[in-house]
Amino acid sequence: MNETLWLVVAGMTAVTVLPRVLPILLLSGWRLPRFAERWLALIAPAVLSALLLPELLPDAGAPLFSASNTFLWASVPAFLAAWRTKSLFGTVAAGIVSAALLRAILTSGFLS
Amino acid sequence: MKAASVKKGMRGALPIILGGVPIGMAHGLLTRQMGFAIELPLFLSLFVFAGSSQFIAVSMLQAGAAPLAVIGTTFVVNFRHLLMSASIAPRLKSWTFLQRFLMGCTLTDETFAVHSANFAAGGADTTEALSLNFTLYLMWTLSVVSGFQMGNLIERPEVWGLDFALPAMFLGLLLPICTRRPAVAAALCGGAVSLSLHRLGFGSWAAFTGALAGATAGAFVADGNPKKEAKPVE
Repeated sequence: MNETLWLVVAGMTAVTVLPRVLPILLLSGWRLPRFAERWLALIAPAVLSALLLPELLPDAGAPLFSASNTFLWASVPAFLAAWRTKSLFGTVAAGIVSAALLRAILTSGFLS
Repeated sequence: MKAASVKKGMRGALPIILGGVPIGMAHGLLTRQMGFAIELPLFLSLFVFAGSSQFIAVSMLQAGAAPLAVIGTTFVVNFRHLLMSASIAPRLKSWTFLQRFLMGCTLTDETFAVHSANFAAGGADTTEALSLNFTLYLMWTLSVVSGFQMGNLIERPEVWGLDFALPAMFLGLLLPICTRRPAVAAALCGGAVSLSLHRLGFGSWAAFTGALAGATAGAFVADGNPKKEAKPVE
């Protein structure tokens, strides 16, 4: 591992450990202003969606929707699994299996 | 330390391990495919211990992102732990400093969910809680390393759909929390901003900016009580 990678790991360690540890160590029984609390609670859905959507749709240059976009179509059964089972394992399993099946169908030339 | 509590904690970790092992293995495997040495996923697992951030960091690094962009995105992605940490803090008043520190270091979406349910039910056994967390920590690292080692057996992980493990995990974490209007608004706005930035070629900061924009937009959306709203206005 080169120096840059060590630097990244060290920086990532700092920014993940501090938010996890400081509140537990310092804020027993302390409350944030209501708006701040609402805002913090909404970081989770906002960031997860901000990470998810660019994975499902292609980057600049490619058309937004295409039949061969495996991730987009695999997300449909994964979505149903997440909705029905509410289990992380169920969602990941459904997604992986669907992605594998879709790729197998697409590469077999069955659709072309 | 009571052996019974340790065992109970390990048993409590089992269902979470079931979901985490495939994700950890996929992380190790994909990191190897991208040409990184085993130190990267190993030290990320040992020091950072955050599944989604590890995936994102590795793919950003491979795409040649600046170190600061990777660290900034990790900060935003894991910022939610601040709230989780603040939320369980009052429950740990009787714990020692070291015990609280260890709990904080091993706080994840999954351990937070389990512990807040346990604490609400009255059971806050320190040994059991820490045993659960450290079992997960160990199993996560082991699954990442074994995934990396399996990398030479599986030549093309995408054939097996393994590259979809990360988006599927995001989906599995996102959907259950989108139960109220502000959360849905935050998700829609965060996703739209991030996607737009990606398509405009600013992929490195897309998640960071999307998270801030989404949370801000969501915070201004009224958290309407659906039952109240269904009532006709008199």
